[in-house]
Amino acid sequence: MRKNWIIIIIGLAFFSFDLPKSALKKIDKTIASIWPEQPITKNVINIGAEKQVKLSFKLENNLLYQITNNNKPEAYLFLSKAKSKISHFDYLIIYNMDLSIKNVKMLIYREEYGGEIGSNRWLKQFVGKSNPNNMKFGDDIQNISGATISARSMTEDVKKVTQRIKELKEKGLI
Amino acid sequence: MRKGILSLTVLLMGGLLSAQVVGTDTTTNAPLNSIQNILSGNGGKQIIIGGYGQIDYNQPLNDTTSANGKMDVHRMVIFMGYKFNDKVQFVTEIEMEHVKEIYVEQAFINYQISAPINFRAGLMLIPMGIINEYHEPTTFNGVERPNLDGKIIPTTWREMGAGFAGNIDKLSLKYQAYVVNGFLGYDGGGKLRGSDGFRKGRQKGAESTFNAPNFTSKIDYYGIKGLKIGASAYFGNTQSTAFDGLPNNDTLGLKAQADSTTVGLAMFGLDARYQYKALHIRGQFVKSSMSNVAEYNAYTGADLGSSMMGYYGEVGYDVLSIFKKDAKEKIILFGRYEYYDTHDATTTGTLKNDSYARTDMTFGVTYKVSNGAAFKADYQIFDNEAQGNTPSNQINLGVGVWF
Repeated sequence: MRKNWIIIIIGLAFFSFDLPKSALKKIDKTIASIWPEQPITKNVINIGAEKQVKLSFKLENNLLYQITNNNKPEAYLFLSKAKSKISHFDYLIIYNMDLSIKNVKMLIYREEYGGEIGSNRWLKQFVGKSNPNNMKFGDDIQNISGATISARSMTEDVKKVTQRIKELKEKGLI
Repeated sequence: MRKGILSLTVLLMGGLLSAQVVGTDTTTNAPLNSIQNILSGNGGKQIIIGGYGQIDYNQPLNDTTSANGKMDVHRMVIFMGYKFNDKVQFVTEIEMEHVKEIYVEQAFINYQISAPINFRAGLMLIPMGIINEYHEPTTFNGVERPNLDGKIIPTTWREMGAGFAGNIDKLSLKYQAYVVNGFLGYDGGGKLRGSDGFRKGRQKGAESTFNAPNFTSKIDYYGIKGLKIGASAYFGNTQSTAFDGLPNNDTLGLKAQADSTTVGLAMFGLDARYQYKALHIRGQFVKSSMSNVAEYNAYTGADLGSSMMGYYGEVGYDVLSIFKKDAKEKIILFGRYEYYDTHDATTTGTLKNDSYARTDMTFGVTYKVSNGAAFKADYQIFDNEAQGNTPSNQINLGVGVWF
C-alpha cells in the first residue's frame, strides 16, 4: 500500500554504534515526529583517514548523519554517549543547518539513578543553542536535583559534540 | 579479621586513587578508568567503583559546663556496581560508620524490563523525603544531615524488598513502588520509643525478622525547570518475634497478645528542591501516624507517640558566583529552619514529652572546591518546647566527598 510519506533509512546495515533495536526505533520516531509525512533520508557521514587527520578529535564511524528532506539538506544528526552515575547513556542531537540545536533525545538510559534527564522538558533547554559557551551547567542549563551527575555529564557532552560539529563545518568537512 | 577488612579497604582505596587519574572518552565505548580496565573483562561487563566520605568535628558549646568535642570519620562508603549487561546491574554500598561499624547500605539487582520499567530486588533504600535516598555529603548543606531525617525518617532507612521503579520521560515523572520488610518493633522487648520513633527498629537486612509486608512508594515530578517535587508514602505494620512459634490453632488467645507487640505505621512525605542559578532552596514535610500504640506502649513499657510530624526549609546561595561568573568552585551560604516533634500526639497512658518537640536552626557555609568535594562549617542552635529549657549550641566543621 502506497502511503503519502516515506522514511528511507540509509546506512543502518553499517550501524556499528551498537545501539539496541529499541534505540534505533527511537531515532526513526524522533525524525518522523520532527518531519511528519516528509520524504526524509538519513545518510551516514563517515570521513576517511585523509580528512580525519585535519580534526582535533577522532570522529568514529556512524555517529554523524546528514538528514535531507526531498533531497534538500535539512539537518545533521549526531549520536553520542555520556556517563551516568554507574553506567553510560546514549542520546542524539539534531542540528539545524546553521548548527543550532533543533532537538535532543535520550535513546537509552541504563540505570535508575539520574534517569530524570530523559525528560523532554529538561532536554528542551538545549534547543536553539549553538554556542557551547552558552551552555553553562547550573546557569544556562538548569540542574535536576537528584540527577546532578547525569545532568552535568550530558551538558558537558552536548557542549563537546557541538564544538566538534562546528569544527567539522569550519574545516569544510561537512 | 579486622586486619583483613582493613587491607581490603586499603586495596580498594589504592584502586580508587588510580581510578581518578585515567582519562575518559565518553564518545567511544572506552573503559572509564583503570579499575574498569582491569576488571571489565569482555562483552561490556563492568565493575564500577565509587564512594563517599563524611568526616566531622562537632563541638557543643555550653554556658555552664565544659563539653568535649567529637572528631569522627562518620561515614566512609564504598560503592560497587556490576553491570552484567545493559539491562542487568547489581548495586552495592558498603558503609563503615565511625571507623569500626560495617554495614551494607544497599545491595540490589536492577533489571530493566523496558525503558520506564525496572524491577529491583534486594536491600534497598526506602524512598521517603530527600536525604534518605540522596545522602551523599556533597549533595546537602550542613556538616550533619538534617535531624528530621534521622528522628522521624530514620535515615539511612533501608530494608529488604522488591518492586518497580522508573522514569516516564514524557510526563517528567519518576516513580518507585516496593514491597519491603518493616521495622522490628519487638524482639523480646520493645524497640520503638518516643525520642526517635522507629530508628531503633531498622533491620537493615541483617538476619531481619519478617512477618508482615510493608509498602513504600514515591513519585517525583521534574517537569518545571529547576524544580523537583516529591510525594512519598509508606504503610505497614512493624515486625515482631512474638508471632514466631504460635500454634495455628490459637485457642489460648496468644495471637491477640502478640498483636500488642506491633504498631501500624502510615508515613507521608512531601519534598521540594529548587535551583535557579546560584539560588538553592529545599524543603520537606513529613507526617507519620501510628496505630495500636496504646497497646504497644502498655505491653513493652515504651513511650512511642501516636503521631510524629516535622518539616524544614532551607535557603542557600552561591555567593562566589556574584564575584566570579565562571567560577568552578562554589561557596554556598545557607540557613535551615527545622521543626520536628516525635510526640506530635500521644495516646492514653503516654504523657506528651515536650522536649521531643524540637527546633533546630543551622547557619553555615559549604565550600565546594570541586563537584565532588566540599569543606563545610556551620553553627547550630537546638531548642525544644520543654519548660525551662535553654537552647544548646554547636559548631560543626567537616569534609564531604563523593566520587
